[in-house]
Amino acid sequence: MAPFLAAHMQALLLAGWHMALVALMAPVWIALLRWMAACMEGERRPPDPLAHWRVLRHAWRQPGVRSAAGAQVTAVAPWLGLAAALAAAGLVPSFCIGLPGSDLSDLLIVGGLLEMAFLALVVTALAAGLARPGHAGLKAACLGIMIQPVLLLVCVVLGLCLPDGTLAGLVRQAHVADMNVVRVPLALVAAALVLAGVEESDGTALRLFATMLEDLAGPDRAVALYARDLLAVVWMMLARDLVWPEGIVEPDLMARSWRGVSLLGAMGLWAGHMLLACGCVAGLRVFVVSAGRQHAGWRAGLALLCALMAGVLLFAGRGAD
Amino acid sequence: MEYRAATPQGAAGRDLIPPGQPGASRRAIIIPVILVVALLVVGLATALRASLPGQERRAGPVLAAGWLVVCGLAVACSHGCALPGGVVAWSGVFAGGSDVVLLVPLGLVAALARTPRDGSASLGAALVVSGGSVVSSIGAGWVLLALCRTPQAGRRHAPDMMALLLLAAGSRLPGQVDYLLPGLCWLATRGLLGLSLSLRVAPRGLRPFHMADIAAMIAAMSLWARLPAGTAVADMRWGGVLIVAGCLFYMTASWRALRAPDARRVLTGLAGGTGAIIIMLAGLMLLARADDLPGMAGCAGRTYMLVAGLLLAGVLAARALDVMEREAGALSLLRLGGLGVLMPRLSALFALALLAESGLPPLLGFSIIWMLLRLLASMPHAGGLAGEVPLLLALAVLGVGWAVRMLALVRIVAVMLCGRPRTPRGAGAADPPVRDQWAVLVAGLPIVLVSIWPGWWLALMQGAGSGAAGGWAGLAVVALTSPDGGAALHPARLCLFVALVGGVVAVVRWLACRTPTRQVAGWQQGAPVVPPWMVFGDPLTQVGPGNPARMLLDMAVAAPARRRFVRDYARSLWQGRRLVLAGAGRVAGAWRGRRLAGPVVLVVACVLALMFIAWQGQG
Repeated sequence: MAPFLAAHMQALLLAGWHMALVALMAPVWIALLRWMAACMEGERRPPDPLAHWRVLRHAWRQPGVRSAAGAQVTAVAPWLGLAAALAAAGLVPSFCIGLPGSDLSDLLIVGGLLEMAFLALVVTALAAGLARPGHAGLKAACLGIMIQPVLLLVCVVLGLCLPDGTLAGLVRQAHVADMNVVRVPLALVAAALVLAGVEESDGTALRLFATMLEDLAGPDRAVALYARDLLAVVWMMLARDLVWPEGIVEPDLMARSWRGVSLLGAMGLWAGHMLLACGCVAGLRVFVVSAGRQHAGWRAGLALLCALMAGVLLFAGRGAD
Repeated sequence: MEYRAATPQGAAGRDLIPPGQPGASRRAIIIPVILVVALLVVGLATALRASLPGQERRAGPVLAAGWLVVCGLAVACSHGCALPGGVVAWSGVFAGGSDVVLLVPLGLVAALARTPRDGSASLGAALVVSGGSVVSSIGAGWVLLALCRTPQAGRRHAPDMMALLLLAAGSRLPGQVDYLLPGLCWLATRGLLGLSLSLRVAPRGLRPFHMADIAAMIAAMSLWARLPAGTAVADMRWGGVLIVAGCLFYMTASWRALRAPDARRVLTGLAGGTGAIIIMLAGLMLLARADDLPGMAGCAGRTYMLVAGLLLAGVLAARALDVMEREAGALSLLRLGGLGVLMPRLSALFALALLAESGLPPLLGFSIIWMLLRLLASMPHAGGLAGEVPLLLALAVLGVGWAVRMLALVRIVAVMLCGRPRTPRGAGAADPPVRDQWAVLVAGLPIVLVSIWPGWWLALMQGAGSGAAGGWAGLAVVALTSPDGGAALHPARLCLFVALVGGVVAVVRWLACRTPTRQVAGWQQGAPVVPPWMVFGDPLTQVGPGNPARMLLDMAVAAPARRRFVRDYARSLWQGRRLVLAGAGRVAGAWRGRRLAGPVVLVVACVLALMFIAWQGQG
């Protein structure tokens, strides 16, 4: 009984630490990502990791004012988006597996929860019935909704690579098998998800998001902004887990005490990988999906192509075997 | 008395849905007399209610109770319980298979139906589910007639009726024309499932959604479930065709939902998507049967029953729309708005139904998408890259259809629930009296329960708990498993997890936002003050019907190229029609002035087809 309880306590402790880490670092990653994109566009300024936290704090401290039209929807929708994004963040491992609910870390579940968070933010923009944010919200929905075909393709590709289709299963497999065989398809899958899911990778989508939330005030605005940041960070975490599953450890604190050190190492690795992911997204935004210079469906088409290519590569590899 | 009987000789393999245990022999269920009596009583009560319109208030509860009794009897019958009264002697007239359990969702639908037309359609669907091959075709024709609200609509279903006739004839000749039956079933269920490759949303192309449509879908599910086995090659080919057709139907139905002008027609489009999933599952079951893959067949059968559960979300949406129509007037999307504030409780229930239909976690729609994805991935492949590319393309088409469906849901939420009311009638809407709210809540309870515990629903429906353990023994296992058993989905745990995180966020919100947020009457943005029913101020930029569709089209093809394509298409159609008319005029010169009546042509075609079937049967 005691080991059972201890294992559960350990899982809860790790889950709390994981959630706190992700929740605290999300605005930091976004601030660094924007700094990197600005540097790539030629601007020269020192990084300010806490800049986005300050923006959120400023918005939170403003008095809350809400349009009477759709007031109940405006009051609920950003928090709903936050809840969905937090639930997805709880399922995507950052530095270790073995958290409660790791058997739920199916890619379709995570993608669905993130999609729900995205749609909740769109509904927030539509709630008051104002022309400008409503129009921007609908346009953002048209652009962002194309994650669905990508998600279906990616799930099938992962289903062929993995025994049970969950991220925890992927990490376990990475510890016992050679992942280099499926590394390229997995990287393509990660690229497809980042392209289709992360709004920060597209200047147009970023502007649309800013327009969507510009008429919100007070805590509603702060929560919506934070949910948007969390959404982007969880997509990046997901992509990172697909590309570098070996960086995640399977903790067993009671059996081997030195595992605590490896946990710290895994956290450091996660930070390094996330920095790299931020750089990749900033590069995508500046060099691949440049704002205003490409067709509206460019990003979705590119993501779809990446997912299809991943499937084709995987099947071709199997056929060659 | 044991009502489970061995499969009769000559009807071997008649059910497409396998029973719970993979690998077990297929079974037929003999209909008990008491179930037939209950159906007769319910039918008489429906007829009486239709003929005495003033007795709605008294007849409604009696009918609902009668249908619930039918539900209970169907469950008992399918689980092999001994029922008093013996069994029906005419096995050709009343002969159920594993699909008799479809009386359970049908009973729930009928118990919540309010109009005589819905009751009549439910009765016809009950005939389909419990009848033999001929009776079920008659019942399906009855449902088709109940769906038609105008004589013109009835004429459009003439091909469906012919296909039903041929289906009945073909199923009386087992083993002779079985290779044709999937195609005939496709044609016969086209109208019942609302399947169409047409993208038009004109009123004659898209009927408004009512309970009768759900009953029609259950009837179509029953027809598909009792499809006899053909040869392996024919089943394999039909399976592939049905899967591809299902993906295309899904996309076109989603597109119609996106373009529909009113809320009921949006729901018809969404229901058409569910119908497309039914077609896809039928194709997958045919493939599994042809390739002798019991795991895949069992998984497809379980998904089929989950789709039957998803129809309960349609029940909730239809009930909510009935009340909304009564409170806020016509459900045209150009007139609705702001219902989320005016009637918050009803809007929340309606949003719940939409969430279940959307396929987002954690409700039942998501479980079905998950199962469907696993089934598609486990399809037997031809080998090599060439064999896999069709699967990838089918998935891409399905995914685009899913995205369009989601956009249709965003649109209906944006226009109906968000914003401000646009008409004085809409501005005066409010939540209905508590009794009506309870009625809608009761209609929503089944879909919530099925979403959380789909394993229990499967155990209730056909003892198909989770593959390993069937019947009530499967209650302990509430996970949905993939065909190979490698992956598992725990919907109850998922719901608990989402509820837990939502609860934490709600507590944080309650603790952090102690200062009430001030509400202001509205934003003016420099524009003159608008009356409260002018929603977005600027009609050109409002979120009106049609805008998202145009945005999507702009994403796919630039507007000038699209205009050019449409112009060329219309011109080629016109030229083709001229060519055909000119050719037909020359060929049919002898027939000038002698026109045959449409019904005569139909009868001649039917007789010819029956002659063909009889000729094939003799061969």
